[in-house]
Amino acid sequence: MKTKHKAEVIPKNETAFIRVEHEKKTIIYYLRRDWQLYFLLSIPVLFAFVFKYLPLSGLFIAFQNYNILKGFWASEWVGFDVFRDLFARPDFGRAVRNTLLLNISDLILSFTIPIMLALFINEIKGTVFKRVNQTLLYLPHFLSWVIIGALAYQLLGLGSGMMNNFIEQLGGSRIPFLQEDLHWLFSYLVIGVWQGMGWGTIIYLAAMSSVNPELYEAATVDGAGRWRKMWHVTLPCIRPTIVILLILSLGHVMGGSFERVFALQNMATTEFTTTIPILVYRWGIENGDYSRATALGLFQAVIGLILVLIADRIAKKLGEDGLL
Amino acid sequence: MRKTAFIFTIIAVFMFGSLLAACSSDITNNKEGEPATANDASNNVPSEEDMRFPDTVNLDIPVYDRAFEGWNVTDNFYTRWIQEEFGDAHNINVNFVPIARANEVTDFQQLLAAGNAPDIIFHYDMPQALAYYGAGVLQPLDLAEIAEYAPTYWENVSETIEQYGVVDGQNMFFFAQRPDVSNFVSVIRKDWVEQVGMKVEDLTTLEKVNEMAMKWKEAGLGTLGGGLTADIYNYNYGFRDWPIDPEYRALYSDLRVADFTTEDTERWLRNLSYQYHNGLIDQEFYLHMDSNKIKAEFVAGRTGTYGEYISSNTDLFEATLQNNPEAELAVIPPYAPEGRKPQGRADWPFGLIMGINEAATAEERIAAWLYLEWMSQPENLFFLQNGIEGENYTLDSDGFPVAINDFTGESALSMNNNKDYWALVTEAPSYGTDEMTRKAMKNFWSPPGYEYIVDDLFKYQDETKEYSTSDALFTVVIESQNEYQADLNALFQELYLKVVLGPEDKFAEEYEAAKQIYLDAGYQKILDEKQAAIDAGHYIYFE
Repeated sequence: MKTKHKAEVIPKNETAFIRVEHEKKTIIYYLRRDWQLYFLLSIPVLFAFVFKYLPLSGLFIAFQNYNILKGFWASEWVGFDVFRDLFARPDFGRAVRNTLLLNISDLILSFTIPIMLALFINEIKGTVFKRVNQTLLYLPHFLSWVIIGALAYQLLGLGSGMMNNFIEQLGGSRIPFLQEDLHWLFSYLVIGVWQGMGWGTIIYLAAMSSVNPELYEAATVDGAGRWRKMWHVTLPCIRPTIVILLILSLGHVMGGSFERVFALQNMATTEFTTTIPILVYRWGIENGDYSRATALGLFQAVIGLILVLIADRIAKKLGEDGLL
Repeated sequence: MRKTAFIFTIIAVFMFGSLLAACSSDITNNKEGEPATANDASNNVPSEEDMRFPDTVNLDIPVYDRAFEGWNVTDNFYTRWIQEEFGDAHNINVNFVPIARANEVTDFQQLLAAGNAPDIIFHYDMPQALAYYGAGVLQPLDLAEIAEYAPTYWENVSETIEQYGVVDGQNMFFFAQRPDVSNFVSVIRKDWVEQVGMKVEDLTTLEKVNEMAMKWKEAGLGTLGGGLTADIYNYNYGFRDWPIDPEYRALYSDLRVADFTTEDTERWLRNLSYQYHNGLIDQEFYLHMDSNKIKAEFVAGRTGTYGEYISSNTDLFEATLQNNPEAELAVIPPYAPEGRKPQGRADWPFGLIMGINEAATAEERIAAWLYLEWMSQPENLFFLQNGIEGENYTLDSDGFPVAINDFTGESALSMNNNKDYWALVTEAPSYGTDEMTRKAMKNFWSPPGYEYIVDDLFKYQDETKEYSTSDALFTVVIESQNEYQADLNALFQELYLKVVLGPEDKFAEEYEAAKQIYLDAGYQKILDEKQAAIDAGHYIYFE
């Protein structure tokens, strides 16, 4: 911003005056010149401020014995007591373990499968077939988890689920897809992949469409087949996109979706369902214990931030751009 | 590096800005350090002749919003009628504040925090009412003031108020009446019972019921109905000793936090485990978290027992017959394990527990008494409960109202007969004596052709009356209960299912381990605090 160009004075040309002004350009100059653009920008900035940054002020109650009736200032300050109590609770350790387990396995599956899917979709030549497939794959993304949860129990239930009826008719024995801990974990992951994979391909497909066709032509000349082209041309070209998305998704490793677990859980298979978002809901909404829920949320967010920063650092070491 | 510094600067600016914003938006209605006293009377008092306020008073009345389809709780025929009949006469603006039934405590808390809470704060359960008191949101009451402005209401409930409304030596609560009638009925597939060669009236012990369920299973008919035990924990009453020790009852009876550690619970669990492993009960009972799912199983003919609050417009019978034309339904007689009594939980002798918002002014408080007084007048109450004669109901030969079920005009009642408005004064319609009330309620509770169901319901209620006991009532706040409740509720469900669904031969082992987990997760702290309260005599015991 402070760059000081030496004015190139070309007397015969009117642009010379502009170039001279260029030297003492300030923010105000740009604001005045492009005010329409800044005005448009201010809308999302305001949105982010009101809905993303303003609520951060509420984090103070993690350090208080917050009583909703007393309000912000009248509630008693207790320093880190809430955190001490939080870390000592048996459900806390279990929630951290489960959150990491669910999200890391989810990261492995739900992050890699859209990449593979995008690579395959990209190879489809028939436009109509490609579009129809893409749309069908997107659709589950628009279903709410509540609906998916109900569908899952209708289809996969042990007692009268359609899938189990089918398996039984084929001569197999019924499988407790959602009614036994390990099976539940597996179903949880697969349903997540089914719901999100189509949507996850969008950004990759966009990145793939900007790959220079000459690279493919050159690869063809060198005798590369489809697999080779995918591996040596497409993948390296979308690598920056993959890295950015990976860094972003690492931020969710400590959080994850509340609705997904809540909609798919049942009380008989709770081994993996006590996660951090579930605890925040239980403590904050069900029990009205706002301080503890906030402390847990803050803990989760700080770990998430640290993970993002570490991932960013690693990405940079590997020669990628990173986020910050 | 500069990019990073820039981003952090922006974040810092936003954080600071949001902090300032939060500071200025802090609202608190609690006056720290001031002793709570009834707010002093102002000059705006109703005139003695017509009880009319010289200046208009705004009265905010809470009303449960049960999300009935097509029903606007704050603006409908009856709210407008209340304003015309009561509000305009006293120069009072009656505003109804919707409180989501399923989310009521949060709703009240948020309204209180924002300073928009109604003038009356209510709840059905004493521990939560005490929690409101403990949070300092209620003002002490002047009983003479209630008697002055609401003489009819006072006459109806003064005994209850004087006996149960006192906390820490102050009059805090007032109540709605609760006539001794209940319409919860458990029905059974009589045709199934007879098909396996048994009789409904013989099902008087748990052993008999299990024997019948075994025969059902062998005959391929179906199973007993069941759902996830949650929210209301009175599951082990039938497994308790009789007569029951008062202190034991005070310590372990609690609708909000499950007692998981007593021998009564162990007996209950053992029976459930037996029923589950032998296929006597719905094998997916734990997936049924609401009564609609349990009902669906019954209606579909997969299970043979089901319980609900019956009403004349219930679709239970019709729907069951549609799926199973041969079905015959009967009320299950009260049963208990061999040698035990069919104990149950009796309701407390009052309906809604109410307090006056600490922030309510004297004139708003007086307006609330006038409202209760107006609603206690039989003709007003009757209109709210029944609507317009000839449209909503007709009178039968005894002079009792009979609802016209398919009436859908402007004055149609809400799906629970406007109860959320008149529940401030009574929990059920009353027609003088219990006998008269029952007679009248039969019209409301019996679907045409099923009068015998309500007759049996009353008969069995009379039989079990002596074994129904109200839970003891603590007169101090049990803090640990509020703190651990949500965790213990989740843990209870997890543990009881683990014990019941786990292998039968590992029952003892699993149950011992589960008990310890439950105690460590906060239940021991609740028991200790309750024991201390019991030792200090801070509880009311109902004989």
